[in-house]
Amino acid sequence: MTLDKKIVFRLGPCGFSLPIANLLEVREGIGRWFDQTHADSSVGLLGTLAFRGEQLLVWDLGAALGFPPSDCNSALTMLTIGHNDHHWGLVVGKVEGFFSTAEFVSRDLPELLVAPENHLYRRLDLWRGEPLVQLDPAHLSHCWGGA
Amino acid sequence: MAKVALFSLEDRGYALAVDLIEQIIELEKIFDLPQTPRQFCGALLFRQEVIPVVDLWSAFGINDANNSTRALFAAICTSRRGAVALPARQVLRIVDMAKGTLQFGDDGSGDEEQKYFLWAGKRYPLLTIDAILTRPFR
Repeated sequence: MTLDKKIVFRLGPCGFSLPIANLLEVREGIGRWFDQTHADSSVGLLGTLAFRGEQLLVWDLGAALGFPPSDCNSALTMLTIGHNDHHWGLVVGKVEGFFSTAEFVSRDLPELLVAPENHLYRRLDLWRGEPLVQLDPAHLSHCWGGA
Repeated sequence: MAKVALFSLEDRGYALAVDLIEQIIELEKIFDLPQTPRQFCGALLFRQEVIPVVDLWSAFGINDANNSTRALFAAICTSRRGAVALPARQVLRIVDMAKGTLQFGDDGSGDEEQKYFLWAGKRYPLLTIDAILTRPFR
C-alpha cells in the first residue's frame, strides 16, 4: 500500500483524517483486550495493550475531544500510531477507508473556531465536500507524552 | 441608501445591514467540529473555505436540538475576525433603512446597546457580527 494516503474515520458526528505514514495497524474489536490497571478517565487514558513486545498506552480520542467516553466493553476500533520511537493506540469510531492525499485540501481552522481547550488540532482537511479534523501524529505524540 | 435584510429563524426575526452580507446561500449542511467556541454550532463550506456558523438558535433562546435541519439559508457575513454564517429559515425581504425606525433598548438580555429595526409593525434585532461574537443577545 502506498504511503501517500490518509485514513478517514468517524467519531460521533465528526470526521477525521490521519496520514497513514504514521499508522502501524488498525485493530477492531479490542475492547476486552485492554489492561485497564492504569486507566485514567480524567485524561482519556483507557489502559494499555500489548503491541510487538511493548505495552501501548491507549488513548480515547473521543474523551480528549469532549465526547462521551468510549465503552471498553463494546467493540472498539483502535489505530496504532507511531511517531519517531513513540507508539500509542487511539480508539476511534467507524473507519471509512484509505484515500489518496490528492483528495484532501488542507485549510487552517478558522481563528473564530479556535477554542482555548482545543489542544489537539488546528487544521482541517476538505474531503468530498466535508471538513475533516486533520490529526497530526507529531502533535498528538507531543500531547500524549511522546518525544 | 443603506438597506437591511430581514430574516426569520423559527418564530424569531432579525435584521442585518446589507453591507455586512457577502452572499446569501442555500444551506445544505452544518458540519460538526469538536471543541469549538459555544457561539458556533458548526461550520459550512463556501467556495472551498470553512465558515463558522453562528448558533443563533442558542442566542435567541430557541430550544432546537436538530437545528441544522431547520435552516434553509445562510447569510455569509464579514467580520473583523473572518467570515461567519448566520442561519435563517426564510429571507423575508430587503428594505431601505430609512423606511423603518431604529430603536435602542434592553429587552431583558441586559444589553442596552442592542439596536432594533422597526418595520411594518414588527421589531427586528439589528445584528452586528462583532457584537454577536462578543456578547449574548435576544
